[in-house]
Amino acid sequence: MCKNILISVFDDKISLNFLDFLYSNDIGAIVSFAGVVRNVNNNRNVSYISYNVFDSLMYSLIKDKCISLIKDDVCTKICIAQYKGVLYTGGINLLIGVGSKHRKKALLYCNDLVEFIKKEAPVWKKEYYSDGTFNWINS
Amino acid sequence: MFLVFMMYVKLKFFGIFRDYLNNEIDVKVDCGSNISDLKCYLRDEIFVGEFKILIGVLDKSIFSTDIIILSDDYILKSDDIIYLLPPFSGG
Repeated sequence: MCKNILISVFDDKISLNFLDFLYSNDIGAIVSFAGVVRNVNNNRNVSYISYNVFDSLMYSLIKDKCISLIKDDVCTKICIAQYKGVLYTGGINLLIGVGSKHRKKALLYCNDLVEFIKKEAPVWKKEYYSDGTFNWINS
Repeated sequence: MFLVFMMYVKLKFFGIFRDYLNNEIDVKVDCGSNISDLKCYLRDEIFVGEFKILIGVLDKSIFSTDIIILSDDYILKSDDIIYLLPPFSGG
């Protein structure tokens, strides 16, 4: 089952080629999500974000979530890339891809994973603004 | 005479805690202490003075090993490595 799951934490640019993991002859639908650092948050001009990631816990929690989703379905593949370190506006901080036989499952699982990671992944964002100040998001 | 045996656990920090404390500290607690006891110890002994502003975050934080989230009744063992995790920000 784990050969159908790829979870990586990158400290350099996340390439969309990461999604190549999903391609195979029995996959009929691929759905992906890319989170991107935008230039405004809560009416403040964002310069960059520093991502603090707890790698080992993230792997463990997300792997369990992926296994609970795909169970014994050998025709579904999931790949997830999380960025750690400093990332400027326009950079990809999170890339999720789901490949499945049919579109409904791929769409459903991708959305499920986005929501899970947004709430449950051990990632902390320190947002830096153009005025030189910063803020830890949610802390 | 009543003897209380003590032990050390290593506490490592993430997120905002790293701005104020070192990346890790050694904490001396009573044998048999659990996560709730550790949280009380931190509130009373560590998050004081200039670090008092972190108590609000501490109250919303959780604890883990390197691979699992720990419940409040998890009994600490000597030389455990425990992580203090402030609220997640989302990936």
